[in-house]
Amino acid sequence: MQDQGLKLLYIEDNADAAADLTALLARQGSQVVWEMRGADGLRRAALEPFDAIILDRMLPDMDGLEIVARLRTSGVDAPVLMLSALGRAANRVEGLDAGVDDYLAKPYEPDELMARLKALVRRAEGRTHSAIIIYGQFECHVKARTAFRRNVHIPLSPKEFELFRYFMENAGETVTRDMLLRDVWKMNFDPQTNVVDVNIGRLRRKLEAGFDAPALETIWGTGYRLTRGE
Amino acid sequence: MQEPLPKLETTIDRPESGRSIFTRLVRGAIGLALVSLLVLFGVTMWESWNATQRSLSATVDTDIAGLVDIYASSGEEELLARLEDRSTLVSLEGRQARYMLVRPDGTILGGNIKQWPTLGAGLSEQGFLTLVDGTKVFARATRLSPDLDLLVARTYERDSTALLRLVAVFLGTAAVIVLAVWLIGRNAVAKLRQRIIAISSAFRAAEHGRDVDLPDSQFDDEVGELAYLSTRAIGRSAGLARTHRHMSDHIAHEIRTPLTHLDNRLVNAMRSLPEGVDPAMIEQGRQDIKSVVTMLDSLLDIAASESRVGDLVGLEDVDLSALASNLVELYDGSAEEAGISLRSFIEPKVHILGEPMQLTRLISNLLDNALKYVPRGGQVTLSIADGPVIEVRDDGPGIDEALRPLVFERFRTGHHVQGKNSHGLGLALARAIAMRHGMGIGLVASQKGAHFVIKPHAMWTSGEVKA
Repeated sequence: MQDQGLKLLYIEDNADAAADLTALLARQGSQVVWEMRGADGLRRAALEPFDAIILDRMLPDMDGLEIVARLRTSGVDAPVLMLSALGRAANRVEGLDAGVDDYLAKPYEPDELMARLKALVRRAEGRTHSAIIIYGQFECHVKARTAFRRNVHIPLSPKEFELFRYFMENAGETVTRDMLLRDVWKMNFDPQTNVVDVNIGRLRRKLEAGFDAPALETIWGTGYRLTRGE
Repeated sequence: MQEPLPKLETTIDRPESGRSIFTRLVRGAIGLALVSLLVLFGVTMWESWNATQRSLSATVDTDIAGLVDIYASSGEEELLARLEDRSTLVSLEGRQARYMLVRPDGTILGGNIKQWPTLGAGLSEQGFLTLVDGTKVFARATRLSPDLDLLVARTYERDSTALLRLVAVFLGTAAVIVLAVWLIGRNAVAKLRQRIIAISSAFRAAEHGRDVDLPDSQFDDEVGELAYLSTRAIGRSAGLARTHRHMSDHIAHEIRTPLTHLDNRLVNAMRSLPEGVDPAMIEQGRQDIKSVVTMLDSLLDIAASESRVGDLVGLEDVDLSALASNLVELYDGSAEEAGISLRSFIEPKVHILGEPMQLTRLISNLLDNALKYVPRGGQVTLSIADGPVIEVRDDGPGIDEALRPLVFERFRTGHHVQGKNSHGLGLALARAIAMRHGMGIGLVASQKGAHFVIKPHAMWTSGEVKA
């Protein structure tokens, strides 16, 4: 997958919000096509291929959830990230239930948005993982549920293995706390305590025990990234 | 521990009642008709029998009066001759005449009765009796002279037959009336039941968020009025829910959007800071924005949960035991790092009808609360039991006596909570989520620390205090 240069469609009625996000994504090397109205966005999505669609939820001419439904019925399969001011856990559940691929609340962390977009595009590219995922010094044996670093077995608890596997599936990319909460612990809200950091800390200690190079690096304010361990 | 059977908590969704007031109404009407007929039958039979008796008595007495005259005017022989004549007569009512003329010593002089009954002639007694040949008669004995007793009797077989016919008519009529009551009642009740069920179904549909259609409200009667008022109440409730939702969405939108712009500007400002300048102040500003957003979300979540009490939309069968185990696993590391022992007692397969995310948040809030305030070396315990009963207890500093009644109110924090970065909304949200799931939450008295209990309203006893 290309790390940069994504072609994105952004459907948002607020010009300031659109300008901010377009500038952010442009700095990352992505090309953004902005549509102010839901109907125009639908038309554009049907005419041009996009790597992903960023969609506001409360649009003046139609609800964002309705746009998702119409995109899917019209055969547009580009992944959709809903970027909405409706950020409560219940809103996120609604969005995901309605077929949105990911849901991010405003105000957002720029790095978090980029990480989510990349993860979405990666998933949409249909990258399937084999029974053994290898990244740098790390090996993840999915069926046997075992982890290795430079051929040394690392004993992990079931949940720690889930975490490790998630990092391996997103190897080299930033994984945010919200992504971990949502995909590993199935939670659509932030518990407001350091539970994720503590669990990552435990995994990190196990992955780094006996090795000099770090296994996980902290992306400040956003999340974590698995290193190659070299 | 014995594994309890899977059970779906239905404290919110009350099943349809198996007993029908309409069936009881029909049974009552049939019973009333039967009792009425029975009373009427009794009175009629009693009156008919009395009339028969009076008629027999009058007939016998008139006959005796005539015979006394004959005896007085013409003597014993003439009397015997007349008795012989009259013995062959049958009245229009079908009553046959029976006579006996005897001496006080028992010598039979004449008549068609073979044996003197128990009636006393001296007292002129009368009554119903059965003759030696088996014939049932009404008779009176009388003393014509000191040496002559007369017995006059009438058979009443046809009177009895008439009474039996009356019984048969009554029974037939009773059967027809009961059948008619049953048929008419069943028909009327079926229609009424259908209309009442339509109203109940409308309320149930509204609970599940479906549209309500009550055509019954067109009827101009009591049930029609009930249907009309129900439609209005359901519509008003649905309208309030919609308005609440729109209002919440707009508040969130109108506050979050400018905060997003502000946050983006702070991000740009941080990016354009000269090399070596500490961005801490700007970062603090961004944290403040996040704090306001978190508080806003909590307030809206509380309002949403409170407004949806009794609403079944979005509820599903949740394995509370699995959900709690997942949370214990998540919090285990945090507890260990904080030097706190996190223990759990989770009965398997405890189920509840609920929203998984909301229930996760409810338990998560209580665990967050406990881990935040329990000092190193302390203990936090999570219990899940059938009911369902959720308990979180700790041996921390507990909650001041004065604050205990207010602890579930919005923006309430204890003195020991100062500086813990709390808006004082966690327990208010926990209460709202418990209410949403048909449960109450309470702070139970404990010797040390705080002890929170969440269970269905019906399980709270009078001595316990729930919020």
